Amino acid sequence: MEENRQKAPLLQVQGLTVSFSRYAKGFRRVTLPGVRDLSFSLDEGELVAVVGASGSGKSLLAHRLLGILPHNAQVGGQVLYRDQPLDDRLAGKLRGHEIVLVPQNVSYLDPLMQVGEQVKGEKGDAQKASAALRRYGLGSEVEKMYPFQLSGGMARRVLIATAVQHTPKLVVADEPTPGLHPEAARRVLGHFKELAQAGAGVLLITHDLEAALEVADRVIVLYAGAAVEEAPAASFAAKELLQHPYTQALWQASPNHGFVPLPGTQPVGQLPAGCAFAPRCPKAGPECHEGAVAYEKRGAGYVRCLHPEGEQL
Amino acid sequence: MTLEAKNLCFTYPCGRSVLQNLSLRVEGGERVGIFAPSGRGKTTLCKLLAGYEKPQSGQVLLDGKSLASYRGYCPVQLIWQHPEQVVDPRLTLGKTLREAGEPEERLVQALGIQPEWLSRYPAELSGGELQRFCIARALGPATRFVLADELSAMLDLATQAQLWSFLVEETTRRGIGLVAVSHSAPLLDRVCTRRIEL
Repeated sequence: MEENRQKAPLLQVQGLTVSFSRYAKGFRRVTLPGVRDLSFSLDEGELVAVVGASGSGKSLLAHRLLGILPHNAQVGGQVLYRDQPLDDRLAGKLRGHEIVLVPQNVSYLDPLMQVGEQVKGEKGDAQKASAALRRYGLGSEVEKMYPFQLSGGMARRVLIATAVQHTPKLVVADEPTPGLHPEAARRVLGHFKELAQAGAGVLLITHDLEAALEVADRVIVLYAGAAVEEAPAASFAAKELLQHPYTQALWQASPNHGFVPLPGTQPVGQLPAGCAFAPRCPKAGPECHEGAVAYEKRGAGYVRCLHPEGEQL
Repeated sequence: MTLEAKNLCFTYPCGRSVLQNLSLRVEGGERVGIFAPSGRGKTTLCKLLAGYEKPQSGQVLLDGKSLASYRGYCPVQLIWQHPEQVVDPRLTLGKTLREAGEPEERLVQALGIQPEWLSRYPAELSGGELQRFCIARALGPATRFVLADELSAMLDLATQAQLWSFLVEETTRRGIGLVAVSHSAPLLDRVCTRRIEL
């Protein structure tokens, strides 16, 4: 027991930065920030959602954890897996069985290969593969199918079955629900919850805050590549429990909570000085446009804001 | 104006039938939500209504005349779910924006399209940004009906609310009829004047 309590988290991400450089006109190089100063931890048995708009750097996080970022990516900060630095070499060794990615869609499947063969993989075991498929309600007829014959929901279950047949410790799911009917989406999310309940750490990366809230223990909200808030899922019960103005704006924009539009757009490429959300923020003062804002523990979570909810307290 | 589908039947070449005797009538200025599980033919219906597919039987009529008889700019415009699949990857977005004629400056402003995006290629922008271009492109002066097929399924809540509130305002002021397809009943309840299930 004692030892259990002191065990390090399964995954610790500390100040992760991912940026790209590309050529603008001629030989002029520009650096495009992808992920900026991202920190969080994930324990075994926990399901943490990383939520953000497209272009907020979510998939880069997934690719960093699996060690599959493109070569022109510049990476900073530290990622620890069971207290060991998770570099590309270790990620390469563990991915596919101990650390797995459930990718977004069928385009990650080989279109010319039957499902059964693909789930099994090169060195896999056919029985294990069919057991994994059966677990997600896919019978032997599905093993003979090709990816184009699968419906969206079936394809998602094939991708999950492929990923989890080796009982992974860390599951990274990248946008597992778009295009699915609410029922099918709920079932897919339920499968991720089961994996967490069986002891795996699950990182759910999604743009769909409402879907994430159905299963997540904690939610990390990204904006323009940086985490702006981390909050327990329970805090999303009311706007006042959320601390960052962007998280509050997301909450209010839900069709269930007023459908209030947030004007403006997330910055692309060059970021404004100071807080990236300041140009759209109702609370922003001149101080918000100067210098970086720190990400700090506050209340039940973390927030990156000079004027968080209830600041007078 | 009136957009009318009369007894539409559609069967895929493989023999799977998705729509049988479907009839639907949408008036200008109306916003009709279509709600159905996957595989019921929501996207097929949109393609038929916009003239991208021909039904095996039945008709699509615009003001009583077959949609196929309209020449030039189609008054029924479809906005697709995956904007990255309906913009030319080798055109800058400035050119994509002008594909169907010069867009009104007012639309470009209201959709929050930034001037610096115009010189970029589709791969350099996110889905939410590309969808703004697709909406502007579909709202030419001759547009009378807009079909939105899961317009916001890939978008975050803030962008979703922003784009929908723009579309509702714009279609209302111009008397454009709107057909919105979505998996989300709460969204359709917010946006539409009535809702039908397939």
